[in-house]
Amino acid sequence: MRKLFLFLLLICSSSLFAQDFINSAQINGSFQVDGQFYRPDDALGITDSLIAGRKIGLNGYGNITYTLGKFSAGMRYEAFLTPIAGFDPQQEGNGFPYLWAAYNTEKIGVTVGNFYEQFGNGLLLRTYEEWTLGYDNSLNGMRVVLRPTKGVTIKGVYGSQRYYWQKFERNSRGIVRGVDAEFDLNETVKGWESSRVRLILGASGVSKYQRDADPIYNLPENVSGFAGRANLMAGKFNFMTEYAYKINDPSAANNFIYKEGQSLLTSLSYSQKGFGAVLQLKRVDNMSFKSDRGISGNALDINFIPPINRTHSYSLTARYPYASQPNGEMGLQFQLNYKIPKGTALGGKYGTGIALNFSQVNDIVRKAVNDTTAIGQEGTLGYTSDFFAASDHVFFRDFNVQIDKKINSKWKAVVQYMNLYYDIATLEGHPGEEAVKAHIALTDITWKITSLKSLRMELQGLWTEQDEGNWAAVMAEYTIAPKWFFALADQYNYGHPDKDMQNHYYTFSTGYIHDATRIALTYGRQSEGVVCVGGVCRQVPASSGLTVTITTSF
Amino acid sequence: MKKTVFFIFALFISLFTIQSCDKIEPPYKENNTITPGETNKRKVLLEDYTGHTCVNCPPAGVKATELKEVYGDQLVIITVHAGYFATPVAAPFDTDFRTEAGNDWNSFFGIISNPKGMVSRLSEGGSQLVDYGEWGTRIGNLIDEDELANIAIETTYTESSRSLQIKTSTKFLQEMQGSYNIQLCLTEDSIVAPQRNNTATVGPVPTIENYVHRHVLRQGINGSWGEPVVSGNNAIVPGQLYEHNFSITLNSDFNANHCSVVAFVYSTADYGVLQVEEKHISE
Amino acid sequence: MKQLFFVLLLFVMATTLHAQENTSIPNVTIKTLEGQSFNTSEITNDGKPVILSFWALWCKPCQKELDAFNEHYEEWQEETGVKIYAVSIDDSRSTARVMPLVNGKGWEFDVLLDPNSDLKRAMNVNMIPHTFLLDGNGKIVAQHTSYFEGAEFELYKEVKKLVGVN
Repeated sequence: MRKLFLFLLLICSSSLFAQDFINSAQINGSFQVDGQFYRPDDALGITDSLIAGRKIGLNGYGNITYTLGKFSAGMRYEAFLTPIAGFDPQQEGNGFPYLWAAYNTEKIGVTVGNFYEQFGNGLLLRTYEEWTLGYDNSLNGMRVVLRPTKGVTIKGVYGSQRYYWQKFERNSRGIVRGVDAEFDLNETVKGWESSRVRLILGASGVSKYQRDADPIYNLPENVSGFAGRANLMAGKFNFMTEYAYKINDPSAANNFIYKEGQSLLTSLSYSQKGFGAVLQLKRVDNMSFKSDRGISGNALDINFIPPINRTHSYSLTARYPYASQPNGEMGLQFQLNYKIPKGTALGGKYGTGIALNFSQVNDIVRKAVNDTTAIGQEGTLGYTSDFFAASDHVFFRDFNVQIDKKINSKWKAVVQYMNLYYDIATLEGHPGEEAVKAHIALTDITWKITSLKSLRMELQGLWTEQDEGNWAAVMAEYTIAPKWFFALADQYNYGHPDKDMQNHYYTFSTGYIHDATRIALTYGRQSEGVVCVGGVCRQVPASSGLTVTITTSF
Repeated sequence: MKKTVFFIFALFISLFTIQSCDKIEPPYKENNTITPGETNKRKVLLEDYTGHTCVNCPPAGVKATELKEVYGDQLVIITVHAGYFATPVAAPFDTDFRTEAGNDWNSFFGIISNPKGMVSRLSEGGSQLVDYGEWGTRIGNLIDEDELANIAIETTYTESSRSLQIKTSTKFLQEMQGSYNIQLCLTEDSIVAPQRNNTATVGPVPTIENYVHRHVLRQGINGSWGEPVVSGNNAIVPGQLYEHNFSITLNSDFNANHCSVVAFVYSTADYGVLQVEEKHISE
Repeated sequence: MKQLFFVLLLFVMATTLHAQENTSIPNVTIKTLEGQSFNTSEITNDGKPVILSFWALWCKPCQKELDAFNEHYEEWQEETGVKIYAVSIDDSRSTARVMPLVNGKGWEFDVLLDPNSDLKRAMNVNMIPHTFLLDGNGKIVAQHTSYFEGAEFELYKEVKKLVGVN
C-alpha cells in the first residue's frame, strides 16, 4: 500500500518538476483476462460436486508502463479469483506483484522495486515471468547497471524473490545478491574493432543468504555460485559456452545432500544462406538453486536450467514435453535447417524447407561416496560423479524431421514425423510406469482461398503402447485476415487401455482481432494430468466448458 | 579508466566470494537433543498432509520422524490422509485412510499438492502451508516459547466394550483476547499398509509394501472444528480450569494399543494453535 | 483500497499522457543475432517506415508471418524502402537455434534477440506474433496481434499509405 502511494507521488512529482518534458511523457500498457466457465461432464467424470461451486475461474492482469525521458516506472496488477484449472492453487489472490521505477542513461541504469534479470544463459540467475504457466520469480530489490565504456556492462542486483502472494518477512526466505560483467572484446581492445573474429566474455557471481534454524542439519547460511561464459564468432561459425559452479547447497530439491553443483552448456553452430546447423551439449549436476532451501515445487528458482530439445508446437508432438532435471542430466541436441533452392527438381518453384532435429538426454552416473552411505542419502555428501560420463538411463529422446513446401500460390503443406522416447517415471514422477515410446506423424495443409481467406487443416496421429495409448487429432481453421478466425478440433484418445476413458476432447474456438486487441472464445474439453515433479504431487483435473480470453496492448 | 573498472570489478567479485561462502565440513547433522519435559514450554502441532499414492510423500514422513526424535513430547504429529492422493484406488491402495475432519481441513486450508504441512496452523507471509523442508525451522522458531495455555487429558479405556472416556482440563495462563476452541481427535500410530514411493533412500520404488504409517488421523472426536473452551460469551479467566468430557466407542478396525488422543486449543480468528497435548488411550 | 488507488493512478496518467500510438519505442538494450549488445534506439530507417515483429521458434504463426514478409521483402523495399526487424523472444533454451533457423530459412531482414523479454515487456506485448509499424520518425502508428494468411497485405497497405505510394 505504502509502495503504491510512493509510486503515485513519484509520478505526480515527476510531472510537476519536469514541465518541459510533459509532452514527451509516454504511457503504454496491456491488459489480459482469461476466464473459464465450467460445466459438469459425465464422460470425463466431472460432476457438480467436483466443481464444488467453483464454476468460474478468472486470471487477469493489467500492466502499465510510464516513461518520461530517462525516468520510467511501471506496475502490474494481477487477480486470480479463482485461478483457472491447471494453475497452482497458491496463485489465488490479487494485488500488485510488480511495481518498479527506473532511471536509465547511457552509462548507468538503476531499477528499484521488482525486476527481471538474466546473467548469461541464466545458469546462475534468471528471473522471469510466464503468464501462461503462472510462473513469476521476479526479484524485489535493486539493480544497478553500469556501462563505463563501450562494450563493458556490469550489473549488480539484490533482493528477495516473489513466492506467489506470500510476503517477504525476516527469515521467511532467502535473500539473493549477484554481480555480472560482460566484455565485448572487439569494442574494448584496441585494434580488434574491425576483426572478423568476435569475442564476448562474461563472468558472474550469485549468492543467497538464508538463516539456518534447522534442528537436524548444520546448513550453510551463505551459498554462492560462479559462472564464466564466452561467445566466439568466426565467419559463419558461432561458438558459445557457459560453465557454472555452486558450493554445497543442501535443500529439499536435492534431498539435503552437501555435494557441490556444476553445469555446462555449449553450442556450436554453422550457418549460411539457406543452410544452418547447430550442435548443443549440456551437463547438469546438482544445480537446483532456490532462494528457499525448504520449499518443494516449481517456485523461487534463482537459476534456470534450459531444456535444449526442440519445443514442439503441434498438439500431439507437444504432448510429452521434456523438462530439465536440475539434479542431474546430460544431453545433446543437433538441428539442421536446409532450404532446397528454388528452381531445382526438389525445390520446385518456391524452394522446399527441411528441418531435422535430434536430441537425447540421459541421467548422470552417480557413485556412492563410501561403502556405508547410500547414493543420495540426506545429510551426506550424496554421491560423486564423473564429469564426462553419461548413464545408460535415458530420460528423453526425440528425433524429428519436418518438410515445408509451398506447392503453388494456393496451397502450402507441412509434414512432420517424430520418434519419441519419454521416461514418464522420471519426467512426470510416475515411478513404475513404462517409458513411452511413440511415433507421431502429422500433416498441416493450408489452402489460400482468396488473398485474405484461407482454410488450414491439421491431421495428426500418435501411436504408442504405453501410457494412454494411441491418439488421433484433427483440426480445421478458417481465417479471414486480419480479423477473424474459426476453428474446430478434436483429439480422440481411441487407444486408451481403459475403454471408458476413450474420450473425444473436442473444442470449438473463434476469435476477433482488432489491432492489438484479441478476443477469443473456446468451448470444449481438456484432459486431466497428474504431475509429481519438484518434490510435490499435484493433480490437474479434467475440465469442460467455455474459455474466454481478452487481451489488449496500447 | 578501463583498468580502474577491471580493478573495481575484481575487488567486488573477490569480496563477494570471501563474504558469501559457507563451506560446511562434516558432520553435516547436528547432535541436537532438546532437554525434555520442561512443562512450562509451548508444545507444537505438526500436521503432515499426505496420501498413499503420493510418490513424493515418504521423505516428508522421514522428516517428521526425525523431528520427533529431536523434540520428543514437545512435538505432536498428526498425519492427515486427504485429497486426490489419499483417494482409494485399485488394490493394494484400496484402503480409505481419509476422515471427515481431515477432508474438511484439507479443503479449508487449500491443500492441493502433497506433501504439505502446517506447524501449529500459524501463518507466515500470509500462508499456513509449509513444505517439509521448512518444518524443522518453523518448529525451532516456536519451541522455546513459554506456554500460554495448558491442557491435561485423562482417558479411561474399557477393552471389552471398546468405550473410551476422555476428560480434558484446559487452563489459560494469562489474560487472552478473542475466542478459543478445543479440538480433539484420535490418531493411530504404526499402521502397516502400502505406500507409493519415488525416493530410493527411503524404500523400494515404486511401492513400499510394508510402509509404516505414523500418527494417522482416525477421527475428529468433536467434529472438524471442535467447540469453545469457554462456553457462552464469557471472558477467559486466567488460571481457571475449563473441563470437557467426551465419550466414544473405538472403531473395531483401530488397534487400541496404538491409539492416542490429541487435543489442541486454537484461536477461532486465525486458526493458530495455542497449545497441544497428546495422550495414549490406555496409559 | 488498492483498487481505488489503481483507478486513481490510471486516471492521473490518462489525463496527462498519450497512449502508445504516436510514441516511440522504448530504449532497451537487447542483443543482435551475434550476441552483441544492441540498443533499440538504433532501430531507424532514414526517415522511412519500419516493421517490428515479435516472434519465437515455438510460434508457428510467427514464422508463417515472417516467411510471408520474406517472400515480398525485396519488392516492398523497392517500392517503399520499408525495413523489417524481427525480434525473437526465445530464451536460453532455444537462442542457439535461432541463427541456424534464420539462415536456414533464408530470411533477409534483421533479426534481434530478446532472451529475457526486456523489449517485449517494455512494449507491452502479451501474445505473439505481435507486429508494430513505425513511421519515418520512429513513432508507432499501428500494431497488430496474431497472424492469418494474407494479413501481410493489409499491413503493407498501411506502409504504402505512410510513404504515399499507391
